[in-house]
Amino acid sequence: MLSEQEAKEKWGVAHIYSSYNNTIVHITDLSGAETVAISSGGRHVNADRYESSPYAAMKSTGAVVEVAHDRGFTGLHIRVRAVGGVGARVPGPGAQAAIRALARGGFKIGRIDDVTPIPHDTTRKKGGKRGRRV
Amino acid sequence: MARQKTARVKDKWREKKWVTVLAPSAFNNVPIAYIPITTDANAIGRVIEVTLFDIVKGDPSQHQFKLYFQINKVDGETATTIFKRYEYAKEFLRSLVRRGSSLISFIGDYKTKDGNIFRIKIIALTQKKLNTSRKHALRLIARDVMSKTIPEMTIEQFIQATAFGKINSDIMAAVKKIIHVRHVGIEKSKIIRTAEAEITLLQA
Repeated sequence: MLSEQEAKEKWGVAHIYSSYNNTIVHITDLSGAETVAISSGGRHVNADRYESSPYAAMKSTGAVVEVAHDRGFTGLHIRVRAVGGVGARVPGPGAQAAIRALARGGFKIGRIDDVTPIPHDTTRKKGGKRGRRV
Repeated sequence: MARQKTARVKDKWREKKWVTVLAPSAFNNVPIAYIPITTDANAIGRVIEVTLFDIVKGDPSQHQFKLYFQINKVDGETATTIFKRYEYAKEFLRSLVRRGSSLISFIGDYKTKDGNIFRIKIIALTQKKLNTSRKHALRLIARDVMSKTIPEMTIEQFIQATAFGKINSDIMAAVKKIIHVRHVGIEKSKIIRTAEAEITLLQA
């Protein structure tokens, strides 16, 4: 019984939240309720402006991949997310690098979904009528 | 301090029990996921997303339909689920919508024979722009067909009818006489109230 259970593949979900300011890679189980590992670009670089860079995304994905391997995960579904809502609808520069790093990390890749929250209507973007004044 | 913290996290993970999650009986109780849980009680209510393809392993077009199942009971090594939601994948819906054709949607609540209430969103896409009276006619037909067929189904029959497009084809056949449609389908269908919840509500 136990051996059969062990032989079973452990799949997880990699949530990649990629904005223009940072990239967060979060691996959970299939239900999304149990966190396996989480890391962000800001943990691996010092300058604020590099947090969203492909290099930081690669680094943080690498850290996450290691933990997920330790815990016996073999496959991942990927859910890429941009800011959405009133913000950007396209994933930032780190998303590509993160997906690539996951694939190179030796996982089987299942579905790749875009889960950017897109409103059916929208609330007003911040900054007021005259825009952000810098 | 920091070292202590990491050690505790590792331990937590080892204590977890891995359970196999089974689909509802409408899909022959096939295993859909293998997930870690800490206690049986806190696993209840978790929702798992799968595509129709993952369950039936039919043709690749079934990747376009997503199914959501909610865990309702954990029993030893397995967990049983109920049907929670069905919907089109976002990409699929986008591929259907086109310029110069109308999108008609209709939303309604329907009760199955065994008392489960579902909210269903029907969408229809046409070849050409439709005028309002035709759109009205289409919605009326969709309503008639669903209010005739769904109250006679049990929950299993209903789930299969949604997932394998029986309701779609019923509406399609009825609509054909008046309007030429390109696509008719259930964009979304979700459970509003289960039979048990309905009974407790009535008793209160």
